[in-house]
Amino acid sequence: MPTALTNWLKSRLGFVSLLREAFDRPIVGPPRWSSALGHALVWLFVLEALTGFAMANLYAPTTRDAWGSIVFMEQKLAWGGFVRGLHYWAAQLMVVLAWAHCLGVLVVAHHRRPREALWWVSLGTLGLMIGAAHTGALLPWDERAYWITVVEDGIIQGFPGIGTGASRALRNGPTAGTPTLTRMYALHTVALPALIALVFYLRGHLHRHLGLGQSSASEEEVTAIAETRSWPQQTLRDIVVAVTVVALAIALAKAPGAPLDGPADPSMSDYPARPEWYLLWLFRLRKYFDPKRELIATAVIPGLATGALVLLPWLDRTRRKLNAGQLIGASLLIIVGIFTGYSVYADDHDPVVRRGRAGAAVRASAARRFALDGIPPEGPQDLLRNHPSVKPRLLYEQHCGSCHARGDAPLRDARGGRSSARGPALEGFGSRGWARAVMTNPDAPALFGRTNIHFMPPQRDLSASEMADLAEYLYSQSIEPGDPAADAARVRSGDTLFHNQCTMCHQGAGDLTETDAAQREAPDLTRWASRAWIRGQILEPAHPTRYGSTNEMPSFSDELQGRDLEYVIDYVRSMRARAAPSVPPPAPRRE
Amino acid sequence: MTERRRVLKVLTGMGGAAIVGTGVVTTGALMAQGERRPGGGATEAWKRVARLDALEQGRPLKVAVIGNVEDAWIRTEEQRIGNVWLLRDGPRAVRAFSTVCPHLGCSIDADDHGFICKCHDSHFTSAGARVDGPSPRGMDPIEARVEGEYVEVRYKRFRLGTSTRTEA
Repeated sequence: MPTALTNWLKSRLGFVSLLREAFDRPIVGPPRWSSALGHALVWLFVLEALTGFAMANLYAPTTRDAWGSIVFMEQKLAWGGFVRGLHYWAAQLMVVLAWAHCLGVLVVAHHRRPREALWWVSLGTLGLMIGAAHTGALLPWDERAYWITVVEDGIIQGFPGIGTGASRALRNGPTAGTPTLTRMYALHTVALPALIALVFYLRGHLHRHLGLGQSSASEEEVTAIAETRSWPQQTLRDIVVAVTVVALAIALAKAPGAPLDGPADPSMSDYPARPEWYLLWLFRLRKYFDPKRELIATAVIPGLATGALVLLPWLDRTRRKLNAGQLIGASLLIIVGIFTGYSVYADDHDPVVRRGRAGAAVRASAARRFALDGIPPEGPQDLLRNHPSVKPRLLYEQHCGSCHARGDAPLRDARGGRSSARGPALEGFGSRGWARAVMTNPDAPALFGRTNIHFMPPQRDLSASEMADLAEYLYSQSIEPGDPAADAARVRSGDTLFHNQCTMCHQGAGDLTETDAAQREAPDLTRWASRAWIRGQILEPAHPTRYGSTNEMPSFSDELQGRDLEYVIDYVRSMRARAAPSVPPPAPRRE
Repeated sequence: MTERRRVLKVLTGMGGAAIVGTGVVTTGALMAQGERRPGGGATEAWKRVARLDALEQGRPLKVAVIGNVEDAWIRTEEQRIGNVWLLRDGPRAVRAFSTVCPHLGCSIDADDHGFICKCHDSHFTSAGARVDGPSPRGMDPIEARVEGEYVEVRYKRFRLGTSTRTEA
């Protein structure tokens, strides 16, 4: 750079002294790697501010939009997943660094007078890092964020006296919802970064004021320090640590990236809610206290630990080499480490937790896949229920499954309760196999055995070929556009057989005389198992052309309409591809 | 001179305090109004949640309570406002329990022995009574009735973490 320009900038902007403030602070004693931790925090904060600003351009803090906006960023935008991963992992590393920084301060006994304020700033930094990481973890409003919000809100409500007020203030209203997210967003992007910048500034100010000296330095000595500068030996360590940590964050951002569960779903019951890793030790600790003493784990112990750390400069009045601060720091590290490790270990070996996690992982990947088609205006919480690939099955399970259970379902369920299956199993319904099963043994438990319909005799007199012809004919009734064609010759002979053998009971509407209509007991099989036939059975099962007076199935005309009705028909039709229930041979003929 | 400087100091202090105070008071006043926003899932109305014949004795059924949700400026119709476990006691007798764990609000699941909250391992009997774990009370009952072919409930939320049951 030309000297003239450099000189002009020096004089007008004072940028050299600005740089010196940042990179050439006064130190006492030898350069230390542990002193570089605090410096690396500042660099990570810069990275968080930039990646955070980038994401704030896309993120929408409402329960409807939060999850979708993040998935959009990750799926549709180049670098979206990486930027979020970087933001996430840099934040986790900041929590680690802030812990390490506090411990480093204890190890060199810099919490002692006259540096009490510096120690509090270090503690405050740790608290703010946890606060920032924690508010950030809630913003995606995924399953994890939702349950963390619910549980921690519950814990806060339990604090005597202040609980209700504090909970309402954080929730920003009577329940957790969009205003809770906007509050967390405001804290995460405005208040906490401002406070973090403030503690960093205070740390610089206190360094300049006190010097980074030995703990044994008396107050007189403090005024006489600052002969050594951090440039270049300490600055080198500072930048090496910072670059290493950022490189680690980049590696973690690429793989595994930032975690994201499926969208928040309050109706899920198997999600094993756990706090973020830096609070897991408290989660584990809580398990050792019964309900009446729970506050000891949630409030008293964390409160006492925080209080002890804040008051440490006065609690630690020794001048011995192994000081109380070092002991407290080491025991904190060990206790927190043991509880965190044990908590991770116990969860990894708990089959219930593993099952819950596996379920959440399946929901997460399905929700991401469905989100590629866009998210409905009501929000993503019903994405998994309303997607055309899932909804038909869910509707079937909800409305039909309790009676039309699988053919192989036991008559008593696992809990010893009576199986609720009453209607015929619908696996293979509409296929030749199902038709054959009914002709073979209609009273089999998997078919009409548990209904009131027992009028049809097993068709013992049909030859195998005749039964195949009838099955082909019945299959041909169910054909909709796009289905494989039936064997025309077999259908023709099946048609003849049907009209000779079956229409005494299974009359079509055209065959029906008035007397017949009153007495008929078997459904009309014209267009059997077609969409229209299934629709009729769902809406009007007791219609004279269906099961009439023998019908036990309720009409679903109130519950299933429009799209949902067609979805259920889709699902029943899709079951044709499955194997029909196997039926035992009929009971011997009573002669 | 010193007197005038003292007055100046006081005036500067007062001016600064007034400016900061204006910001703090208005911000605080706005931020403290979360209470005013509508929200919550409690409802006075009976909501139809299931067909009676879908309920089997000895087999609890989890159903969603559907209603309109108001959340500050967002009003969404036909949303799940909560979930209940339904138990059938007889031909036309049903009971309902909230799925919200009275401990910290997680969702209660059914298992082979009754009910369990998987967040902190609270166990309940199949009749909703507390067995062990951190829950301070049994599962919260929800008013339920049979209307024709349907089961209806009147959904409520309860205060968490207390051994006595009070509505939230």
